[in-house]
Amino acid sequence: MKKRIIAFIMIGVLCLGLLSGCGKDSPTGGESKEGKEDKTKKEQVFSFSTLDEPTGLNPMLNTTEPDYSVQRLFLEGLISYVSGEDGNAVVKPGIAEDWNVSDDGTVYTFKIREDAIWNDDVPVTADDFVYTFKMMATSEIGSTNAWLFDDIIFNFTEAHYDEGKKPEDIGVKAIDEKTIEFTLTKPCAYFVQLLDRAKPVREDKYEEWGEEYGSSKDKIITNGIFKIEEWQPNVQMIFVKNDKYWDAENVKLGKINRYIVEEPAASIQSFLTEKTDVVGTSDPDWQGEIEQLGDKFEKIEVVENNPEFYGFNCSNKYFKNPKIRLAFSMAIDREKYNEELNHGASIPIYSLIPEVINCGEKLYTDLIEEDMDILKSLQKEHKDPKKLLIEGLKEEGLDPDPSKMEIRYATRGTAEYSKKSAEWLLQEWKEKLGVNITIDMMEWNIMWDKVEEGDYDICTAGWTPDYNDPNALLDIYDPVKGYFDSAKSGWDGEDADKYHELLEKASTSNDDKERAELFFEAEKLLVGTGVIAPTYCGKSTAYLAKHVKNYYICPNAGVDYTKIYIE
Amino acid sequence: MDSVKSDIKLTDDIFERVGIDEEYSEHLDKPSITYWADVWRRFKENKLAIFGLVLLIVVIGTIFLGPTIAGKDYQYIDASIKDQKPSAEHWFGTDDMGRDIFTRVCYGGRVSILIGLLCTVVMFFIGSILGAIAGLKGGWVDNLIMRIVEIIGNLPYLVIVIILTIVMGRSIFSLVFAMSITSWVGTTRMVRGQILQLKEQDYIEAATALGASTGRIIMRHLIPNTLGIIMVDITMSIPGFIFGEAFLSYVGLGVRPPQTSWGALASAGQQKLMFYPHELFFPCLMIVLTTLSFHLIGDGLSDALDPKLRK
Amino acid sequence: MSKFIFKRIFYALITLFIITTITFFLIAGAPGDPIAAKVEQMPEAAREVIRTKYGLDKPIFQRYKIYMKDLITTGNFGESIIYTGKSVNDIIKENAMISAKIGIIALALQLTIGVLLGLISAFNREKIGDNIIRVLVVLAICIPGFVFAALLQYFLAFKWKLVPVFGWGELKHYILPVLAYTIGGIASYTKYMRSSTLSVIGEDYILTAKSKGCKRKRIVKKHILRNSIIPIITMTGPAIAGIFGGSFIIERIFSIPGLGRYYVDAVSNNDYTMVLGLTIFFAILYVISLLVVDILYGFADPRIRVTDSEA
Repeated sequence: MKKRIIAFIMIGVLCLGLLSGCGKDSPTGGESKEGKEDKTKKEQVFSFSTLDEPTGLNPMLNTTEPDYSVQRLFLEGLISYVSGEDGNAVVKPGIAEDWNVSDDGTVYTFKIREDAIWNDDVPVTADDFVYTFKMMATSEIGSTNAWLFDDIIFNFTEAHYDEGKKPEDIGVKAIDEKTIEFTLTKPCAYFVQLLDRAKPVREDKYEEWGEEYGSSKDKIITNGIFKIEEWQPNVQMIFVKNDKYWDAENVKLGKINRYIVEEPAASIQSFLTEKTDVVGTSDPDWQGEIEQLGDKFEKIEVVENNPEFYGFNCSNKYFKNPKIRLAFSMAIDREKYNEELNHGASIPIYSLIPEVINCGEKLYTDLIEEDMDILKSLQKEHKDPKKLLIEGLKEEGLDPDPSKMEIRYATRGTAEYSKKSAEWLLQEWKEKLGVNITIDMMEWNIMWDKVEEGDYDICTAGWTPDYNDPNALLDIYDPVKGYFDSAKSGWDGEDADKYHELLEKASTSNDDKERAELFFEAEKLLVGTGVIAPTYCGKSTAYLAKHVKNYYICPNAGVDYTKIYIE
Repeated sequence: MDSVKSDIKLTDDIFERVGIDEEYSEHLDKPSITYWADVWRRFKENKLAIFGLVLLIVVIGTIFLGPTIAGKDYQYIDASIKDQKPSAEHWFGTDDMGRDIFTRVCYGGRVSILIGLLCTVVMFFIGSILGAIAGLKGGWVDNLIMRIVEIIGNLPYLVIVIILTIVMGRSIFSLVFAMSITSWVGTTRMVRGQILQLKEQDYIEAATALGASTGRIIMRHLIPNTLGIIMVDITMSIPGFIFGEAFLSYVGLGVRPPQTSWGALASAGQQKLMFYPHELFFPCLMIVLTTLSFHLIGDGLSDALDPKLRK
Repeated sequence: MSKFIFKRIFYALITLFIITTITFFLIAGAPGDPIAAKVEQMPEAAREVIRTKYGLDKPIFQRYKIYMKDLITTGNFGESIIYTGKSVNDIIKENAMISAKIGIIALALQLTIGVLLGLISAFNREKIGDNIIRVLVVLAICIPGFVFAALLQYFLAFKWKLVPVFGWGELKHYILPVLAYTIGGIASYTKYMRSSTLSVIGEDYILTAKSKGCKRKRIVKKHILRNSIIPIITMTGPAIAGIFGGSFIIERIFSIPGLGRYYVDAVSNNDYTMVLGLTIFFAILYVISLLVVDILYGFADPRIRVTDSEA
């Protein structure tokens, strides 16, 4: 018996040894800061938790949302596109202190700050940006943000797709060490804000590190507000103020903790216990829980810029008929959807472009005088969508009994929400149209794959505009070159051709009002013939600890970390 | 001893000749019972096992009769009554789309139990047959089977499930297929291990030496002796598959909506744990009761089946 | 013995080769592609450029040849497509240890407690102690893993605030995942230990030892424990291999940077190199563990002469 007891003790010791070993060689986690709470707060520390680990920090190769949000902390492009005080996105001078545009809107010249340096004291020069753009245009690099500049920068497309030009030929030139010039193929209203998506890489380091550039803490150089002090993948990233940043004296935050917490309940719990300073939740129960704690927090509500919609496969035997498509689109009670699935935390939409999108300086919605709720007026016109559906079925010479229709509905993702909204939709279409759809639950990348092959009837889509302009959204359904081109959407014929023409016309115009009107014409075609059925635009709710000041968020741009301070 | 001897005198008249009673020689005092009747007799004596059996019958009864009695539609969404606590109207409350949880739990249970049973049957057949062959034949057959086991056991499970649900469409059967195609390897290893161990036992050697045929050895010795451990494996498997389905539901690979299962319900309820614990509690309660009953029955069976445990 | 081991290693290599091949074609044939996961919204032409970069535009057999050549000549699993610039080898190195640390502690606890409870249960067969242990053990595992983890988190971290809500690296961060793992695994060890101990108790040699007046302690140690532990060894081998893989559910719920999360993410993102690398890594561990089990078998039960399976 003695021996057995000894064995147990040994196992116990082994466990303890392992545990203490773990304690020793791993840096401390988020929890350890608890004791220093009051002290750190004075030290200007801002903490938040997020779901995703960045895939990497190479600004040309890692361009998912978490990648961008981290890159903007330690890298600065020519300009910064950030949320302003009034909740609108603003372009702020970044590494470039000033720029000007030629009269025809095709040549941009940027003047780089004299005091902009990398954290190894090497000055940031025009050549860094020329190099970056050249690399982006090199097909072997396989840059994931290069396509944003296709058709915009002169010769960029040709170089990017190896169509007779070399990366050296693109319209990006260094005039002198601190001046850089961009030549565009045509005027582009959103070019400057697009530059926020092109953060620089440095030639000497890129040659040294190659693909490993930005893959770990010691393979990163910084020219931005913060530098990375610690990077524990899937656990946390800690940033400290970069004293060599050109505007360092105006940066108040000393430290940023970015934790990865996947469980929603855990992220809110850590906010409630003051381990993080901001948290977002759309769950009304959690909101109640937070609000019940009184006025320690500030509630921030932001309308998002990414509309959600259903895409119909217009080459389908049913959905080639606009009446059938429209019947499906109009049958959805968007107010009810908002109430029952989003708990009121979204904006029902009856056309595609969200209210927060600009067309030039002004909001797109302000430039149009007509009633913009395209579907609402159609719904008033056709009180019974089922009648329209049967009409459409007869036109196509199909069985006019809607219950005999065989339609697959592809979800985008397999999360609980996707499932619930599919079940809701199934019931809605069954009640209003008498149609029985089949739900195909699939991962979102599989859904996109199916869309690519044209193997779908109805797909669930959402689109985040890559820049703040209606074109960023309408462009995706361009039958010639959009993501949902006619091959994928099945949309062709007269309307589709006209749609393409309208967008082409808008892209060459320099007049915002005219562009807005052209865009609206296109939107009427897209939504009014039921190619897509826009449903809602998200509204995000975040809670911010009261001691955090100057924290502004808006959908089109990131947080301006130079302004935030802790009180 | 000596004194006893001296007390009794043995004389012939103490004894009486009985002779051979032909009729009585074939008579048994107690009725002859078969192996299975014996198993059942011993199973009945096990109170926990009987409790498990009754529990299982109650659960299955509820699942099949419940929806008719409650008279609700498990799919019907009515958001005006969402997230309600259990009441006389909705015995288990409603979920966040206002659907009756009791009815959903019953329908989900049918799916979950069906998946558990089907998977186990497939697993048991493939697994024990291959395991027995590997263990008995040995040599290259054993080697081949064990290599196949290693290969199948190592293929990425999730990839297989994803591919199969895409290729075959999402249905209960594609799930069963995907889950059982990878799971029989454990049974095979278990059975093979048992048989290898038994093969070396003296009584098998004795039987072989006495000229018993392979068939007789399998039927009379190997099967009864391995059944116990296989039974444990099986009863652990049904809940295991119910859990497996729950895991797949949790990562979003479960049954096709609007169908539901216990796993799907529990994974939806897990997100509501903080505010509406009943939405997690009831699906879990059913899983717990079912699993519990299978485990108790399995324990009872394995005791009853094991010839070495005969009292 | 050395001939046997050599032969087994040779077979293991063939097995690994086949696993790699099947997995390669499985995931290459799976729907979806990693480029879509890198950038959801991108025109087709740009997508093609990136596909070319990763060699995904080449015919599948050519890709297979390139991959196998790289793997065999350099032993590298290649670079992750999603996590650019990171080699799969590095990711495994960094994260497998995290999963393994939790796993080893949990496995040690499971084994110790499971074996102990199994023995107690078997020796008190059908007495009160046995029944309590059986019911408790079954109850503990009747709750699906994710529900149990969520409950642990809810009570220990949120409600009673005994352990941190998230974070990684310190002792206290191990409590929740180790608990969740341990309790989930104890039951199967207890069950198998109980069942195999019971069958050993019924063996003739135990009776012989008893009748010879052998001390109870000695019987337990020399005869019962030694023989009843065999199925446990069979189970432990693959379990040891499994601990490096971690558990997706536990790692997700407690925000632990283990390999389980990488694996599920890699599968859903179609990160080809990553899925392949992880699969091969797990397969190597598994194959090794099986080899070790077979050798251990020989030690635990001298009657099983490993060479027999070769004859």
